[in-house]
Amino acid sequence: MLALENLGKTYWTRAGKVKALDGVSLQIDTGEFVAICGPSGSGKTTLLLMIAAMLHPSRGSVRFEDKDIYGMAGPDRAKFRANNIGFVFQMFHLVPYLSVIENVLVAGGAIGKYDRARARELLQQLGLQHRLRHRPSELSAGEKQRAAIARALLNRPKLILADEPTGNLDPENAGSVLRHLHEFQQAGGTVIVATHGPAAKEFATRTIHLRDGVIVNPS
Amino acid sequence: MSIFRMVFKEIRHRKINFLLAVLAVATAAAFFVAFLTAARASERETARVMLTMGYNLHVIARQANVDSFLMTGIADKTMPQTYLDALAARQSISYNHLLATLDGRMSWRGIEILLTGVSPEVCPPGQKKQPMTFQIEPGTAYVGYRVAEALGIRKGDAIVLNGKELKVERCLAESGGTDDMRVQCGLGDAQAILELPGQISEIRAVDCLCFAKGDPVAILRKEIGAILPEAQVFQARPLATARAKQRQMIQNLFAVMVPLVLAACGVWIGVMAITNVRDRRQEIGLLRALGYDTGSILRLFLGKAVLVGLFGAAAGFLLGTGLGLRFGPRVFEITAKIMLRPEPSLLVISCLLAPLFTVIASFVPAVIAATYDPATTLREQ
Repeated sequence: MLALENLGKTYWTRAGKVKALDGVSLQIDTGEFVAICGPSGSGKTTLLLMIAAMLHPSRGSVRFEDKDIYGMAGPDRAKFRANNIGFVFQMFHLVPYLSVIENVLVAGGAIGKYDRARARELLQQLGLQHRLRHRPSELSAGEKQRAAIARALLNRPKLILADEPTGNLDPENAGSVLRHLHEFQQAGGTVIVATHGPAAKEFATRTIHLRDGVIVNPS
Repeated sequence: MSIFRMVFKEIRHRKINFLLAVLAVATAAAFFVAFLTAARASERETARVMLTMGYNLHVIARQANVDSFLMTGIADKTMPQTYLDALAARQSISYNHLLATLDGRMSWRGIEILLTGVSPEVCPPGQKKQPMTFQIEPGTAYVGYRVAEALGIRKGDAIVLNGKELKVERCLAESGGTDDMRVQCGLGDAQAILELPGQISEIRAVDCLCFAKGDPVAILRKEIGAILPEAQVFQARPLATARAKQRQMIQNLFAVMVPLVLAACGVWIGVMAITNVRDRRQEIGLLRALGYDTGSILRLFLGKAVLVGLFGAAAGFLLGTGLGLRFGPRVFEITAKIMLRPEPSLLVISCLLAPLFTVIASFVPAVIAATYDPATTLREQ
């Protein structure tokens, strides 16, 4: 499903050149739950953003179902993202002025499809049926992250990318979030989670360790 | 969740932010409206004050003795009254406030007086204006100061001139000029008294060439000569020049000030739009990550800009008009009551210009938002 070939990313800062990723090659198959582990600054988020078609690599390629995603024009890449990838972020990134159900439907706006029934169904599955009209500021951290998962699932993506999805949650909510991602994987989806904690390993079919932009346990 | 619904939701969520943006635009629009309301009043006031200097255009019969006319101000030959109608019937001409007079010297009750018959003032089609001078009703007379004093005439008296009885409507205040020796009556009455039916000795008017390029006298002679070949045209140059210079000065002042005001408002709105974009970077990053295209992000920001512009324009019009009407009379003392009034056209202009301004001022920030790199924004978390 996903083939990363010799991926590299170099940032230029005032202090000089920083290699965030250096020669990462990886194959991820459909139905995998991959945990990318490593300390802060190891290149996890950079790798995730490249897989998400949001960050152009300095070298190498990312192929999704045999399509070179950085060979696409910008608008096509945006469309590709909307149709194939769901995102879950550490900081939730819910739109503060929209209700929970509207936040879920925002994802539909990118493809012009507002499936309110599906949004409602997803929120019910995630235990948020009583929070549909609430604003994000009225939710707990766990509820916010579950709303973000519902948003990620709305467009029936093939891949969910989660960047430290449990970073701001207590162990109980962290477990709940990972279980929901696991359910998505069990239903045939692919999940890639970037994390520096051990919780995701419990559900992962594969764990990849990154250090200083390099995979330290090649498989 | 359509983009326009998101625009309204965001406005409802950030009410204070929206109100502040509207307030900024309203203040700018109010300044613009108050300024233009005052500017228009000022232009009218200037024009009006300049009109009190009198008629500056004189048309007399071709056979009249020019030397005599220039020395006495009275044409020694008459011309048909229909000439007035011919001049007044033309559109797109450079004069207005047309008036026909018939002048004649006569001895009356032992003194020499100047009898002047005055027609109602007429305007060319599409140039209707308030009359510059009083209108004399048939059968009435306005008696000059020295004539009234010498003969003991009072308001309401009946006087008889060459067998024609007239009621004295007013005895005029001392002018220090020939008007003191003048008895003014309706043109028809004067024609009867002087036994010159259907005749006039002069057409007076005000030229509208304050902003024209070229020699105004040449322009007027060409225009009027084409209509009345049997007439001579004179312009009272000192009057015309003073009027033109005053009106040009006012117009030039506003020609400089209005663009400056508009530019200042544009910068103000632009700064507010940039602030709004900076406040919403995370949201923009999220939408970009979800796959929203550039057009959608632009609509999100420019849609709000249009609403801010429309609300600001409406509020600004009300505020500006209120300020203009409240404080304008202190500035425009002579004509405030009739010249200072709400200008509905400014509401239309504001409702078109303000959204255009907010869109233009917000365009660069909106483009910045639309091209934000989602990766950079999301990495900042």
